[in-house]
Amino acid sequence: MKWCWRGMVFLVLLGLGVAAGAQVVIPREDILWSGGYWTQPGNWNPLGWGTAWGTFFMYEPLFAWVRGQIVGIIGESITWIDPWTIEIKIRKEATWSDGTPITAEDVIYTFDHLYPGHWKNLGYAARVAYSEAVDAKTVRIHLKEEFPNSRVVWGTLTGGTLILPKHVWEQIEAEVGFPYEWVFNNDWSQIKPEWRVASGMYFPFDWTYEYERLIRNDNWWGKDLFGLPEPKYIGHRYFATNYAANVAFERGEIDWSGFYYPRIWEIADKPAGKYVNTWTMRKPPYFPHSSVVEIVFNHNIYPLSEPWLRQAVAYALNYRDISVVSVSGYAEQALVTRISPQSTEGARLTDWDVVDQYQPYYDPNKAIAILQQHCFKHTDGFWYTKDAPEIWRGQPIEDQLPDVPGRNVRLGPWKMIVVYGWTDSMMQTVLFQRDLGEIGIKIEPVFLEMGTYTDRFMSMNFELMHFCMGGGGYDGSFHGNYSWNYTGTPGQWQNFSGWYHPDFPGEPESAWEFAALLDQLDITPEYTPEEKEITSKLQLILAREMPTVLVFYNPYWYSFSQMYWHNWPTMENPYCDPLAPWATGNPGGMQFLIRHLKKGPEPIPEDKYPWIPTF
Amino acid sequence: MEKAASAMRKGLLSHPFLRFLAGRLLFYLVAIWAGFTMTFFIPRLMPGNPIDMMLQPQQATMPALGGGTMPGLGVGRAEQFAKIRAELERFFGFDRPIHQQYLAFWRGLFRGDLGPSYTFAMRPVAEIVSRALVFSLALVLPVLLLSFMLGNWIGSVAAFSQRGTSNLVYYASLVFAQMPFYWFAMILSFVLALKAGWFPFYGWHSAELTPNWSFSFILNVAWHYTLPFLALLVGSVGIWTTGMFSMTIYEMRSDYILYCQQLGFRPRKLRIYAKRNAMLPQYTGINLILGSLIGQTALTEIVFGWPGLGTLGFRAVMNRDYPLLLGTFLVTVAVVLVGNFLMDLLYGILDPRIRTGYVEAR
Repeated sequence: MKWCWRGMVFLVLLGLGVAAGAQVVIPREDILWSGGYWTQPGNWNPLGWGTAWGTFFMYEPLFAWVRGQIVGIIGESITWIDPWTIEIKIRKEATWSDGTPITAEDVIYTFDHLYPGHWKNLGYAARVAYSEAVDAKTVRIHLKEEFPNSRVVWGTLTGGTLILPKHVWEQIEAEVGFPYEWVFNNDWSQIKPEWRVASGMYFPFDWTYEYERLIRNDNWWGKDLFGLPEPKYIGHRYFATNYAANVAFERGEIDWSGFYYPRIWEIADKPAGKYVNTWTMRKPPYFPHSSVVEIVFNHNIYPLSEPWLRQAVAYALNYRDISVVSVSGYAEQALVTRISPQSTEGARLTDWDVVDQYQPYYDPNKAIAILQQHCFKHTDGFWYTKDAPEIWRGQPIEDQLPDVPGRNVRLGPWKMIVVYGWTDSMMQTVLFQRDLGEIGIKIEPVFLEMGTYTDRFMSMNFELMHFCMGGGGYDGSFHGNYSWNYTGTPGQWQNFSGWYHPDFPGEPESAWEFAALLDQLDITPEYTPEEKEITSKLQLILAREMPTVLVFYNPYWYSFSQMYWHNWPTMENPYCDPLAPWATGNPGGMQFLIRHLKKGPEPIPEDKYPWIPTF
Repeated sequence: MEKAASAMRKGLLSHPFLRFLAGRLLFYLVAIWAGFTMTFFIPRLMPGNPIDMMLQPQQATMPALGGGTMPGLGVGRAEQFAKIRAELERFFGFDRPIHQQYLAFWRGLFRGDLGPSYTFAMRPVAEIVSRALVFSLALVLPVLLLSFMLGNWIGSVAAFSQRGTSNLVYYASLVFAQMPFYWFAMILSFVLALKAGWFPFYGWHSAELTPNWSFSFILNVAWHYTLPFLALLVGSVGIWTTGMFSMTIYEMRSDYILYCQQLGFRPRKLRIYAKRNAMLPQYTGINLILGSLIGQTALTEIVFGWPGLGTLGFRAVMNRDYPLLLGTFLVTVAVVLVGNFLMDLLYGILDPRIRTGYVEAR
């Protein structure tokens, strides 16, 4: 056996000898770690699906939205020359990393060539007649006759579209071929050196399947204009579970978190506890508003198509209790007008008269009173309509109680579909069942695998649905949000699940009126009385008809640790919006935030800012 | 020439061990075909479409309060989506009939092409899965080997000693063998990583280090490796110990042991004889334990974020990355079946009764 042991010792020594290379270590205090973005590392192509987090720091948009204001990045200014012409001036300093100036041609190429037909900018191309390079640093966008003042075009140009170098991406397009948007991963460790051209303040450093790291571009064109960001490295970590991510956060391994952290006030006892903070300075509700959790009704089915039924449901829900049980009490009830008053437009344009008149609240008696106006309670324990129409959307409606006068249709029992594995959503559905059961409406939660859920609601094969996906809920603007939720046809992603139906024009009238108002709003200038009037009308229709029942605003998971970096935006230091690391719809805003971070720890004073539980 | 080849074939097949080998090989080839075919069809029979998943998170990243109008709405949206969908379906081959997809799937398999993973930037699934396989095997094989040696040794010593501690060892092993490994993994993670802080709770190396072959990096990996390894090892040792304990007790009551005792053999010698015979069923158990261990490893990997097939499969499921899911299943099925085949061979070689039987049959 001796030879065996000697051999093993030799092998170990040999291994150690080979392994005696220098270790590459990035000091923790030099890197800003974030977490919470849904894609995986390895794809720095901004055009395709699953764009990696770092991409939004490698490339830059023309402008950023910061506290409701447009802040120039590559773009210096954007103005309406007339209702059909937008002029963009590009900063003279702006250059690509290979020294080539960023020009009007790059901007035109990005918007007119790379993005038309791309899901990110659908609608833009339909409204723009042509773009024109007035000179190397000036672009003019000419709108089609029927779309003056288009918000869609303005929003696209000022939004998060990352500008790409024409002289590089033309080569990529030619060599990779179609569908290069989807298959070209732009991995700088593998692609040709001449394709490694970007304009941003960070470039890829390395990546594994568990994280990606970027290194500061010290030759960034904007360093004299904006100053270099302090973090020399930024990185994003990917966790298999939310729990693992939260443990990393409470141990100070993540600085910028976009994860749901239950009962965040309990983090006080954890290693990074004294450094952790949220937008509201450790006070409930901790997190700003995000997308809306809503109960979606299949409007093709009577009486789910009836506004009174949805109003009754809205009054039956115990919003506070649902929030406490399912999301630690962070979520606040949504306004009946949908747009959060925390958004810039929400604060400016919310019609509080509409809210006062139509905002539902938890009142089971009122819910029952609404039902009693349209229904009666039968001996079998179910509500039945007093008199239903004979036909709804081409389908005859059966009288389920022929012996009782009128056309009587039973309310429920209905099934409510929800995604299996989204535990907070599943819990909410069970609580909806409880609350609706109290007013005599029976529903049954059905937990479906994501693919089945998607298939069911895209084919309108459901009765009720728990819905909390992004969509327009993230958009704080009336036109953007309403359009997103309204647009589409039954069987597609939105349209409040069949509120209108193209085969039945004018039915219901309010839905078609809503569409006309949206088109009008698109071409109405901001900050005008007309804008206020149209948005009020839109809000009134939504509040009155309630195409879906809005439950609450999802909390926007923005939290941070000052263990290594401080000066994060908060409501007491609101130099920037609260942006989670996954706010890639506003990359300029995220870049703005990182540029303002300061190196070094800064504990949050416990006496001044104690954690206050939500319940 | 043909005669010679025919004679050679006859000669080969007339060898009982090779006939056994050919039979097992045929069985496993059919099992692989069935397993791969199922992994091809199951995702396709499920509702939904991977293209829907690719197009789904289109607006999931809009800022909460950033303001601005969201682009991309209204005119032409449905038509544009239909166009994109059609192009992607063509690219992934979903526009072809299912039998053509099936044939293309096998053609790809023989070329080592499992398609692109759209979770991981269209990188080849084969490349991603190969990396994960290394991490999984780095756990499974040492655990299997070490637990086999330790468990059998502990089981045989405990059974043979017949002291008070024997039963304690047996019942403790029973508990370890019956507990879910992922549960024990969570206990270890909570106690030794989160509370005591002795070990990292997640990942395969510290995030501030860059993977390389330096000694300190290898030590760092070993530090991360310890808890998932222990979580799997303890339960596996329990399984082997209980089996060996029972078998040794049985052997110790055999006539040949009793006879040897009467002849005055030393206890150590008796234990060696008993152990040899008690070991044979344990070799058979390797097949079963391997399959179970791979399943347990998958869950344990998720607990510790160890980047093996389990964590990869979990990511694939969460992202509805069907090609990656398929690749993960395929490799897992292949590993289990190849492992079983090797164990069958080993058993054929190790069992003297079987070996002798072959010789006699010849």
